[in-house]
Amino acid sequence: MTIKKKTSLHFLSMPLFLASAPVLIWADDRPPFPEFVDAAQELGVTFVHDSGFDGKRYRVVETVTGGLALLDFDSDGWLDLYFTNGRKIEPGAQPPRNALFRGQGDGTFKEVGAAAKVDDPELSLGCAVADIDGDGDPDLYVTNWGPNRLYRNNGDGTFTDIAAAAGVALTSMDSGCVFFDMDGDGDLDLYVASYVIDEQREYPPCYVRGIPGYWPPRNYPAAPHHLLENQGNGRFAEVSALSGIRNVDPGRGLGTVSADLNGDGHPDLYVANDTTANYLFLGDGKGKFTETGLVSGTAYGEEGAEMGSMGIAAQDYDGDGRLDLCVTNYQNQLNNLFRATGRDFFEDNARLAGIAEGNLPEVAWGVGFVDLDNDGWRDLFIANGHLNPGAHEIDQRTSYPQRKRAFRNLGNGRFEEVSRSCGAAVETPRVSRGIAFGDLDNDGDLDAVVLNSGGKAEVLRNEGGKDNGWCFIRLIGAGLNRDAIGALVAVTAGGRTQWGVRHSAESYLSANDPRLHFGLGQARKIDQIEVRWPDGKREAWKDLPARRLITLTEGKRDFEASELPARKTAAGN
Amino acid sequence: MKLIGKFLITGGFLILGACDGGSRDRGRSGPAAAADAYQQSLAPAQQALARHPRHPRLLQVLGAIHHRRGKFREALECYRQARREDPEAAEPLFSLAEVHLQLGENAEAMEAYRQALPLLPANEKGRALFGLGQACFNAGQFGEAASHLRAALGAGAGGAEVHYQLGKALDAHSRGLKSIPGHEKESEQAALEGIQALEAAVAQSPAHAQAHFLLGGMYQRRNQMVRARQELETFRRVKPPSEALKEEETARAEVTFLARSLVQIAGALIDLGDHGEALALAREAVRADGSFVEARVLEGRALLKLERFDEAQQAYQQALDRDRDQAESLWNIGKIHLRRNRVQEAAPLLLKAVEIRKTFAEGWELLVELSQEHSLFADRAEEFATKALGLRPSPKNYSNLAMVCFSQGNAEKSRQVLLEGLKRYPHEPELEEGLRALQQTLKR
Repeated sequence: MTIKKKTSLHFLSMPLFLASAPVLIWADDRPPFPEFVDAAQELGVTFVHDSGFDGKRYRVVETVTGGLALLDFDSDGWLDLYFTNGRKIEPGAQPPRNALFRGQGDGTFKEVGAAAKVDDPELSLGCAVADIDGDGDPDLYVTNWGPNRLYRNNGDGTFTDIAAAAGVALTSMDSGCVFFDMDGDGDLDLYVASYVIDEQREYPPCYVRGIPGYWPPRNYPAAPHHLLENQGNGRFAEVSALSGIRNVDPGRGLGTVSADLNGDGHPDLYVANDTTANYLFLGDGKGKFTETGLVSGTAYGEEGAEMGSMGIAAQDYDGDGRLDLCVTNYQNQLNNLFRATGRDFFEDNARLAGIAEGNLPEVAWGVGFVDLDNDGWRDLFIANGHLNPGAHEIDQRTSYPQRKRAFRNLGNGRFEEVSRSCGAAVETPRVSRGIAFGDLDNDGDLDAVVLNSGGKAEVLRNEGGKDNGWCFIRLIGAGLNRDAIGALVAVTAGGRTQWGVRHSAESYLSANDPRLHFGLGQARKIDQIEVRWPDGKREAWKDLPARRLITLTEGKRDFEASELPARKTAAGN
Repeated sequence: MKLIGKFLITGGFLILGACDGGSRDRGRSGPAAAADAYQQSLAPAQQALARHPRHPRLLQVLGAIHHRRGKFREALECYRQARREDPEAAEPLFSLAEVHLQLGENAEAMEAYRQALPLLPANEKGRALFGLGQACFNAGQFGEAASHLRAALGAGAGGAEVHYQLGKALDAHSRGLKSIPGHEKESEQAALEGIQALEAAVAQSPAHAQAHFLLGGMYQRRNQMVRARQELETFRRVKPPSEALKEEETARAEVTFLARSLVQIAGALIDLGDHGEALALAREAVRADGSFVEARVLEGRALLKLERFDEAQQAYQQALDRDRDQAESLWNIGKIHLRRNRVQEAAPLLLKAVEIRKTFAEGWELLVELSQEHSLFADRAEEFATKALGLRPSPKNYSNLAMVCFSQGNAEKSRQVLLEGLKRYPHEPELEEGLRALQQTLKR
């Protein structure tokens, strides 16, 4: 069913995004947090990751592989899954390949990587998804240790790698990547973080207390990162030096996000660096960036130490209209919960917010501020896993596989750990890396897909009750940035407003559901949705239905509210 | 020589030799580079415990071996047993607390620190209070953490680190209070006190990078942007660079740990009178890490106990070759010379040892004896006697100082010293006799 409704179009005359919102705090009779069930096998998601470790040689790159993407490459309304894969030094005749699992509409998935021509055999690390040519279907960028790929979606179920022709076939050990419109010219530019320069031939282990493991990243020189400007003609030009992103100490880059983090209307970049200070590049909207990690309070951990930073979530968790950051870190370092204070300054609230306890033994990677129980507050979900198989031998507190952590947002700036009630799939230790969130079964709640290093992928199906309302928002921007990457959306329902930003990549080297998800609690309808589009225009729509996929098109007064596609069979959810 | 002989057969030889593992030269990597020091340390510790079951110090060493290897549960068990065997010792409680802290068991860590408090002399209580503060901070009890850290400072636990931890706790406390309506004033007070604490930390240790970092953030929150920038710039300047891990460092760490463990076991065995086994372990430590000064010292100590004086002197000399200020080696070589009536050779070594370890009362006492019986350091006799008395106000030391003053012609001061001694020890025969003799002499 599709509802089409006309509504008044508001160009906002005041910064409504910063308006204070009433705080809704759940009483103690909160409903139980959803359980998650690993449905990978049942759904046909058979992906097995190969980290590239051969049991003898310890290449640092093997420790950091593992991004994935949720996208709807065939525009059928069902999410598809793209997994990156590693590669051994001697991969043999049949090297592991990246894989694309097509959501078939009946709840199951089928691997179509070869048919779609995205089954890259290179050693891949991460990916980002965006419609870079404005043709209405998602394209895919994949970072490799070797030439990166830019898979242009042909719209017929196949892709073509145009990286070389587009000038983005970088060959460094690249990791995080994001598309964003850095200069406001309407097309999507590309930031590519690089990890380290590794020119070794032999890879002997590093013995710590007699136990072999990987040499720490600080033993490798950091690789320079890249900023590539879309020329609007299908080609990208490297502007790394000109843009200011190289006016920094080199960082071993991993997770990367772009969003307007200081609320000035221009997209910024945040880069999680491993054992080097994290970057916060504030953009001027014209393609120039100034690094402000130290002064913004986002470069280091709580004691001024460089962190082994991995993944990033960038959304507003406390409902104040400002984007906050959660950065995942290495063992013996707390994850950062950088709460935006509104003065170009963030404060690390990990301890105050209640996410610090039990964190130190974990090596944390994929992360999301995601409303898993649809109560209208973004919860926090983190995927963990060590990188040294012998980790437990030298520290009983930790282990190679580790459990995931789920924290329920209490709506008062604090979180409560609920991992134990999330079921065995969350509690079972895995060597997790990337995690991506999206509604795989189109039932209105967020599921999660986890890439486990050297192991089977998990599809964590959200089995939560359907009592709370929700909406998904699909944005269609004007011009070449048709996915409206960078748009900020404010949804007002049930007396409060929550915000969400449209990313091309987030978490750990991964891309989430392209539809923005909002839990609505008990609200039966949405009072208003406001969008600040990437080009700065602001629009608002009023009186929208809940429990729908709402499509908003820049400059169009109508919105489209449709039910999520139903399964082809009646079985299941 | 009677006095000198007494020193030889008591602990006087050894009292300087507490092994802290801190005195060693660096840079060499032994052949056992990549070996597993854990297994190599474990066996002798277990064997020593088999010879001396449930000995608390050996249990403590075994616990430390497990602890360092990340075997926290085994370490806890050893420390708990050590605690049971010696309920008056604080060290097992500190070790227990440290493991609990690392396991995130903050309540248990707090309990261990609380139990340690009454066992400590007043001037050491700060250590337990500091630990309590850290445990409370980790548990998110920032206000309580600040209270304990203030108390630690009050108990004399100085140092930039205590001020820094107090500042950190107060910053967190202030931020926590800020979000609670009605607590704004309290939050502001905590923030101001936190800044004071951090300023104290950087005043004591200008290169305390974390304190500058935190101060930068606190000033930023208070919109004092100039101060904030200054602190952050200082942080950037003083922050130590991150350096690559070198293979020899990891190997070196293993060798050092092995040698240190063996030395600790040997030290405990010497105290237990198991000198032969201690010597074997000390020599094993020397083989593991020839540059580890404490291993040579322990070898010398064991040989001394076995009355193998030539070899002991040789071992101590090897320690001195690596660390010419190694006090126990200086002292005991000096004592060996004395034993052989080589007073002239002994005297400078003994003096140097005591000047390094200024709180060694027996040392000053011996120097007094040397000055009186051998006319050595005559011009410093009063200084020696004064220091001996200051450290140990015994009747004998009152008497000695009085004698030195008298022999230097200062009869009045001699009388004053004796009177003061008698005030402290009324009717003490030695002092009464000394006073009578002095008065008779003065009458004549």
